[in-house]
Order: sequence, then structure tokens, then C-alpha cells
Amino acid sequence: MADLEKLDLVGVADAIARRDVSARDVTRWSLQRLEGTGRRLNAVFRIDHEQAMARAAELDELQARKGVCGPLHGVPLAHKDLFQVAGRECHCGSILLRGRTAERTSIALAQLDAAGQVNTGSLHMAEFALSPTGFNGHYGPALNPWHPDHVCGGSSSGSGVAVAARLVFGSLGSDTAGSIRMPAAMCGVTGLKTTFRRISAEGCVPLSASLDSMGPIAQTARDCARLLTHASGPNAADGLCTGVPNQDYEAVLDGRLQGVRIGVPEAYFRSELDPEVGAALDASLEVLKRLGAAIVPAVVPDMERVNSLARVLMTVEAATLHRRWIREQPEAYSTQVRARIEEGFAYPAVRYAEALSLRRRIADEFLRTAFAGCDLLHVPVLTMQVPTIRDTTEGEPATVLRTIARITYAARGVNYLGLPAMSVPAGLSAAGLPLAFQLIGKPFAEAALLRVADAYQRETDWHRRMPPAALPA
Amino acid sequence: MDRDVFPPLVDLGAAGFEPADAGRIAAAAAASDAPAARAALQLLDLTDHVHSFAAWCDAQAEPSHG
Repeated sequence: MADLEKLDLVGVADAIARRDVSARDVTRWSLQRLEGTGRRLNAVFRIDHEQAMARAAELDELQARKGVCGPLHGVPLAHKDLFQVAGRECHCGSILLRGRTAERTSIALAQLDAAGQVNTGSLHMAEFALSPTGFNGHYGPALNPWHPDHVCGGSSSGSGVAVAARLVFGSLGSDTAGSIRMPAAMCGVTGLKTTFRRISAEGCVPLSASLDSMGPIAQTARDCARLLTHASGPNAADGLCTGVPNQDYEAVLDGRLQGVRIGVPEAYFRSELDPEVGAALDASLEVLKRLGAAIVPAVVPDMERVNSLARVLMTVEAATLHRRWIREQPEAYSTQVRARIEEGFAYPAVRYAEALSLRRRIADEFLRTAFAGCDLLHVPVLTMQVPTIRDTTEGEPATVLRTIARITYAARGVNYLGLPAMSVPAGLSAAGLPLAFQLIGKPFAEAALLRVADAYQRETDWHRRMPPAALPA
Repeated sequence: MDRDVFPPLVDLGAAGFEPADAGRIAAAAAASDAPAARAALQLLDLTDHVHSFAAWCDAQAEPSHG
């Protein structure tokens, strides 16, 4: 059998289609890794052994009779524990919803089912998706496979860890203020936050309906393109999902960047930048330039303002969702998470309406200004290096809160603007932790982001590096 | 007092929160409340609220993004 840990999502799908391996072989391998390395890294909430093996057997039988049923035929995936699966527990990283069984499968996962995925279980996440570090006061942190003393990023913590540690070949996460891009960046894998409503959020436990965006985490841009192609698109069952047709995102990956203009904003995004992060960003720009892209300066509007408006929306909507539970069962929340939700009770109604009403005007201004001379933006995901768990949980509270706020500095505003953004692995620090850059595009320009990231990954191998936890003992 | 920040934050102490908690929450909220209030004062137009952000997003779609 092939060395499965060396294959990416597209590679394993091809191997199954060629009958080099069966869906059962790959699923058994994935389940063993989830049970071993996955449990050790605390990346997993639930492993569905029986259902996954039954599904793999069904797919093998189908392949024998009719051929593969879709582009994800037999590929083991697992997803953040806010994507509901009918008949299975979905507690969103909380104790409040523990034991709650979902009645319906989320639209995004149903679409991946139709494309042939084997869903192996549910992955660790921050409590109610409210931490950029992956903090979970009830279930403990998922551990960064590059170094267990460091945070793995959140709130889609298990998704980042499971892909990096080669437990599954891809995962869907959600991103309200960086929750896909953070774990992707901190775990050294590729993550795509899609345009607001590009992927249906129906059947997902919300945090902030105005900001939540779903998206894939996988080893490569091509893997993300395949997942996006099959998880997205208009769906009659979800009136809130976009009506803009999706496309075959893999079809645009041609490795060519001639004519692409990549904007680099100095102000805001590069202030207080860690020197190693800055060096990795510069090195990635050199690669993109060599591939034919034009690197041009860009100017962005006031991002502090954008971040403030995003925070008003997120906390008020979270407080609205949690108001009854937090009143009746405050002890069911960890202190850090409750504090973030309660902030939403403090804003006057007028402020929330203002933050919503301003959104179109500010997004318009951002598009006119930031994209005036370029197609997409190149900025950091994190302006600092991956912090330790201790840095983000212990010590003087004000210092800890500043560190946590600093983590989402370059990510949070993107959700208010509704734009697609990607985290792409771009190096390893002297301490052996991943470094990454972020690409931000215009609405529905996922194909442009994927095309640039894929071209970069054809020239580099940062996305192929395996963390120590993924290697055989 | 910053005259641009109006109406004020909700008094959570009056709503039954412990005084220490109310103070902590107000301090955290104030950091985002003031810039948001100023942005509204400077930028908001009377008709902005009737435009749907979602419809605006869809209008940005171009067939040749790839």
C-alpha cells in the first residue's frame, strides 16, 4: 500500500480511483491515526469507526459496480464540531450542548457526502468557536503537532491539527475572525476563508451570522480547490447562501501568474511585524515575483475602525444567541468565553445597527482603495510568531488579553468586509514553528487566491513539510 | 466625555451584573464602541440601512475572477 501520510487529498483520491488502494484501506488507516496520534494531540472529539468503515465498504462496492461516485470518492475527512451530522452528537466544543444529537446534516457536509467523502468523526474546536488560539476550558487545548507547548490556533483547532498531523486529508472549518486562517497558519497547512455566504452555513452552529464563513483546511491549495468546488454553490434549501454560481476551482490552477498584480500594504499590516515573519513574507513575494506576478504597493483604509465594527457585530450576535443559556447556566461557560460573549450585552442597539449599516459603505471604500492597483493583497496572517499555550492562558490578565487580541490583528477585519482570504504556509521559524502569508481577494475571487497559492506551492515545499507528530514513532 | 460616542454603553450594573463584572465588560466594550460610534457619525447616510450587504456582495461577482 502507498505511504498514505505522504499523499495529499487529491493524491489519495487519485489512488483510490486507480484502485491502488481501497476506500476501506484508507479509512482504516485514517481511523487508526485519529485514535492514536489524534487522541494524543487532543484533536478529536468523536471518531465514528463503524459508520466510517460501513461507508467505505459501500463506496468500494459502488466503485466495483459503477466506478467512483465523485471527486472525493473514499477520501477520509473530518470536520469542526459545529457542522451537524444527522443522528450524531454536535456540541460545538461546549459542555452546554453535550449529548445533543443533530436532526439534520449541514448542507456543506451533505454536499461533500454526495462527492464521496468518508466522514470519520468530529474534530476539536474552541468552545463555541470563541478563541483564536484553540483554547477550550472544558476539553483542554488541541496540541500543535510542531511543538506541543505552542497553541495550534483556533477556533477550528482540530481541523488544523488533524490535517497537519496527517490524520485526515481535509476538513471544513468556520471563520468569524480568523478561525480557519489561524489554525492553518499555526499548523503549517493551507486554509481558505470563503466569501461571506459562498458555502452554506445551514446546519452549522452559528457564532455570528453576519460574519461566519465556512471553508476548507487541507495540505495544498489544490486540495482546498477540490473541497470548495464540492462544498459550495447555491442551494435551494438555504435562502441565505449566495446565488452566485460556483465553479470548478481546480480548473483554473495553471501555475501561471503573468498579469497578476499583488498588492502589498505597508501601513497597518506590517506594523510591529516580527522580523522572522517579515522575512518569510518578503521571501514569498520574491517567489511570486519570479513566477511572473507584479508586486505593487497598496493602501488600505482604517483597519482599526474595521476591526472595531467587526467586534461589535460579533459580540452582539453571540450575546443574542447565548442570552438565555448564559443567564440560566453561566457556570457552563469557561470564564474567558463568557467574558467575550457578555461584551455584546453592553453595546447600545443603535451601535449594532450602525455597524451593520456601515458595512456596505466601508466594504465599498476598501475595494476602491485597497484594490485600486492590484487584484489581491498579500499580508501576514499572524504578525507575531506562534505563541505558547502559557503566553495565552497564564500571567497578568491584561497582558494575556493583549496577546490574544494581537493574534487576530491581521485577520478579524476581513470578515466584516466579507472577503475571501487564504493562509499559505511560507516557512519555519528558528524555533521550528510554521510561518505563513495571507492572500485577500475581492468578493467571490476564491479562484484567484487559489491560483496564486497553487503557483507558489509548485515552487516551494513548505506545505509538504511534516510536523514531528506526524512522523512514525 | 467623548461627545461623539452616543448613546452610551448599556449600564450592566443596573441590569443586575456584579459591579466588578459590569466595569470589566464596559472597559472591554468601550475600546470598540468609540471607533464604531465615530465611524457612524462620519460616514453613515440616511439610506445606508436599506441596502442589503448580502445583495451588495453578490453584485461584486465577476465571471472572470480566475
